[in-house]
Amino acid sequence: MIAVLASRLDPESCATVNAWSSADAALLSAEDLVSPGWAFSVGDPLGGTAVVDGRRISTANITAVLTRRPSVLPEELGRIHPADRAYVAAETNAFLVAWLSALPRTVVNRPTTTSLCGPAWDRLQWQCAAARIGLPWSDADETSDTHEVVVCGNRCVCAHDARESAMATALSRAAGTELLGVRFHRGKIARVTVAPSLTDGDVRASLLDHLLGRS
Amino acid sequence: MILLWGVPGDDPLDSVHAALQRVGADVRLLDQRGSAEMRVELTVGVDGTLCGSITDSVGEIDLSCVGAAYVRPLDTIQACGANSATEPALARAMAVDNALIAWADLSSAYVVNRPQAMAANNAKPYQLAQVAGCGFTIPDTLVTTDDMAVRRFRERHGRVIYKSVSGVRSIVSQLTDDALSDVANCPTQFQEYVPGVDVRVHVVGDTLLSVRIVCEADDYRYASRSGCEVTMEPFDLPANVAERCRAMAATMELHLAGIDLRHAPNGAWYCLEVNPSPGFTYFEAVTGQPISTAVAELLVRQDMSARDAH
Repeated sequence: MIAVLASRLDPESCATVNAWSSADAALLSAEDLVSPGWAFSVGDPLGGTAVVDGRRISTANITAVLTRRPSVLPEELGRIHPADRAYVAAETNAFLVAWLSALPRTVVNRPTTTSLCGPAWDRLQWQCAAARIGLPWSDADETSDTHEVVVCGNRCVCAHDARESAMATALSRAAGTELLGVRFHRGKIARVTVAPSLTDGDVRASLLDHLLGRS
Repeated sequence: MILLWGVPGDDPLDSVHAALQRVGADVRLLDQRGSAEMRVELTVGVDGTLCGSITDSVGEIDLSCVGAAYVRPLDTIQACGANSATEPALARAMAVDNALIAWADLSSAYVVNRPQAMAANNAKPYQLAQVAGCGFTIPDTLVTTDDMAVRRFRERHGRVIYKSVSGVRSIVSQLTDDALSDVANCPTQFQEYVPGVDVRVHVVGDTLLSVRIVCEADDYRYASRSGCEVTMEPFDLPANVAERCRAMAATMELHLAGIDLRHAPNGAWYCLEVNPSPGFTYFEAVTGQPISTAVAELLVRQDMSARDAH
């Protein structure tokens, strides 16, 4: 099973799960995380159980995880008493950091201690990371014409040329990510995201190949 | 220059500040309560280093002159005492605090400790896996929403304690049947109860200050609530355990750490937790160990070597 950790209110992630139904993809929602059935032993991550799409399964049956959210928000935990939601969300996020870090499976992206889907860096931090490996940064603002290049494991999708592909791949490796969206403006990096759009068919196919270990 | 960032009145911050002033160090305190009125300007150098300045009511700080820093920021809302999450001043304070956290993570200065390194403590099972990787024994640990899994865990271990998974402070408690009813609604962390003697180790750079704690309570920090007494005395760690503590703090990129050990009757040294921003003044007050002086000396040394390198 490929577990897609995302919100039920995220249409792009829900569409991705549907598109990957033949690959046994399923949504791992906030509701699942506060349902009975989870068990995780530090030191034996595959020996436990998980709850995915309302079903309790052996963790060993999960072959890959795609994470499409930086955190679980208190507001999503509708079953929980309002006074307890902030605490339960904090506990749930902490649990996910541990579980996703320990899982000996393909996890895209691995969490950091501050975000479930990879480095929670702002523009300045991405700019530093790019500068440290000699990549040029554009001062283009949000309204400038840019295009997104997406790194999926060893593949790079939507690049205009080999140079863009090499730059995006280098930045992804420097950041320790397996999925990265890098926006270019006139050959320079303008914006970076660990949650690139998955609407493009090539991106979705490349990502699925990576999650299935085919890339 | 040595930069201190936090809220005056915070005991560890105050005691390090006082220790630095006693030795005449070039120290500058940045009061987080004034974040909303601060101006931070950061730029990225061609080599990826962060440059810039911070200006508060005292004046401007050229960040390239900061050789060492001790950072103990509070949550922004708590620090600036905002009454509403929508206050414009709170948004300004958050922007400044976030910029300072980014600087603390990326600066070439010696930062005690970088926020990124401290964040591991916010996911305790994650940190425990790190601890095990550093060669310490850890208690068998289960995180679950399944009450039957907890019952099996308790059958295996007899005495079981539970505590928060996240960095939210909780009182370590022994498991009773009453506590099982809420497990289904929230991932909860259970650990085998490890009997033994608590030892708190403060790692300050390469210096170790250890104290043995004798207390009957499940959580000595809250001993008075259960009518128990706490006694502490300085303690010499075995050399191999001391070296493991130093190596673990270095692996976790923590220049200052409060390591909670438990020496079990079978001789094993368990590590229960590593606190990356320890409230060491509590231990200092009881034992007289000069922890704040050690932190101040570390900062002075690192600031001087940064000046030499400059």
